[in-house]
Amino acid sequence: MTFNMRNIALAIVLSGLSQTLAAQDISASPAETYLGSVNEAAKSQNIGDLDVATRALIENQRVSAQAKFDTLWKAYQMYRTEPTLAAYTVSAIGFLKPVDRLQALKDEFARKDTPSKNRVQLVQAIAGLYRAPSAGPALTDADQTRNGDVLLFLQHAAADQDSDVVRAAVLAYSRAVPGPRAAALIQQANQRGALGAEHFMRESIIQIPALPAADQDATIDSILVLGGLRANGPEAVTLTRLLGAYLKSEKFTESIGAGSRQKLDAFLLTQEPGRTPGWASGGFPYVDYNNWLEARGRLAGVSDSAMPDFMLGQLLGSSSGGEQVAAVMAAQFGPTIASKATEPQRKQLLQRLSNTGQVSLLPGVGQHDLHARAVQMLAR
Amino acid sequence: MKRVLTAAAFACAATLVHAANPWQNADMVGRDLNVPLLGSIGHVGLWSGAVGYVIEMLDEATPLQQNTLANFKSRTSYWGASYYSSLMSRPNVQVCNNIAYCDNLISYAPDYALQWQASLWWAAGATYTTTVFYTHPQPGGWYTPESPPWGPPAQPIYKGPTMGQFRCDTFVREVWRTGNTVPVASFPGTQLPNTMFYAFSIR
Repeated sequence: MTFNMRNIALAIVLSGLSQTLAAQDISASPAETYLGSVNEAAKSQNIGDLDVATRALIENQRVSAQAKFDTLWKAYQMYRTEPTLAAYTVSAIGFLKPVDRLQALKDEFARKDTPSKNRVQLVQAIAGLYRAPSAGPALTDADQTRNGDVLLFLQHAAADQDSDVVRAAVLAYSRAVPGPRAAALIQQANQRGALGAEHFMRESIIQIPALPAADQDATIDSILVLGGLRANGPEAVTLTRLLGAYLKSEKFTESIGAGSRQKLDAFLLTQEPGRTPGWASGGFPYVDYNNWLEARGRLAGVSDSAMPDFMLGQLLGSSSGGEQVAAVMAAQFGPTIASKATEPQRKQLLQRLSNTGQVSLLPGVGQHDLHARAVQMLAR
Repeated sequence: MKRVLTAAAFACAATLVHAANPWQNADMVGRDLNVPLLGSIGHVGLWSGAVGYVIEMLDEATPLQQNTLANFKSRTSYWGASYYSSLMSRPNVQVCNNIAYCDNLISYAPDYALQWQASLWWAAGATYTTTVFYTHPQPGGWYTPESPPWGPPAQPIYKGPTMGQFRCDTFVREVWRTGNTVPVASFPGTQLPNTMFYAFSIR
């Protein structure tokens, strides 16, 4: 009986294996196999099969980078007007970083009949060919020539008629070479309505350390205007989050002039996360609150070593509740605050944590863990 | 294909029977994909209790978004939440203290670390790809390029954080994989949002 079962199982396995081999046509080249898979995916619209086939091609060590590009490019040419497949294949090409195929990508971008979505993906693939200077080995002449071509292309694309193309080009340029030229492109794109508030604010913030003082002030003024247009609106919440994330870096904030620091702090003071109505009621924004408080410390010139005292003072001196205490205790300076706080200070913080029940919370949501951990840290 | 169909069947069943809210930090939330005929492929996001929002990659003008759970649930048929059952037994995870300039690695409890990472990546921004490939955002920093022998010494230059590149499932997977918190072997071999969602424990 056992023997028969084993034979049946073996027959099933062998049968399955032979069917798999037949289906794959083991004599086909990787390119033929891939193009066959793309054809199948075009019929079935099955992204999962396309993932498997594309990964098999790109991760195949025996296929040269050139052959991989040629295969994906052929697949793209076959389906360049089929949105899903075209976007997929160009995006996959971008991950190959085909440095010697810049012209082919630019030519395809320039064709009048190339669909908008393909052009956006082409911008991203071309931008990926930029090699940023770094502290490592110097760029070769070829790198520098290509970098110049890529940046020129991105500047042209930033003036395109298609807003989606403009956005992709400006974001890429902004990250490649932060500075006055990028800041100008960001402003222009924003005036055209191509960026959207979040991109405009994020990219503008990223330019700040790379700008001369006058440009820095103008950039900061423009994001504060946008963030303050609608009191407690989504722009104010997004700007508060972004400023918290970037300004909490001591070195980043050191690059900002005194006047602009005061303006930034005045804005943050009116936007305490979790307190103003723009924040969602689905849970307390613990990470955002901690970032916000650290950013306010940095704007006041507080160093790493003085930050625990600053945060402790802010928690004790304000009307902070349990959420605020838990947010700070969970993050970077929490352990130091717990060890530096005096007995009365710890009791005061624990009291606020125990009052959390007065604040509306979604039942069962994971923040209870953060509160429990804060209690554990302070109740030593 | 079989796996996709099986997962799709589970998805339908889950919608009918049980679609719980997320409640642990870094839970995965899932729903139908908002594309006609492809809904069962699904869409996933990361519930971030410590941020108070779902952080998700969408094929939209601003791809990496923080949205309320109500917003996530309102768009298509909601599947519920899934989670990695060994999460809290994993060791602490080291993550960058900030995205502008990573001058310090901080050790956090695994659930908080994953949300911290998602929040950092949101601050860096990301572009959307429909492929299974991805790029992690990298923090910004100052660097001094090599000075040419004939010129003055080069000055430090600020290089902002690089953007990530994800689709919805690779974003959640890469956040979960931070510091190998969720081991790679836990994820399905052929990954789509639906196979990934149902590869883990369901709330």
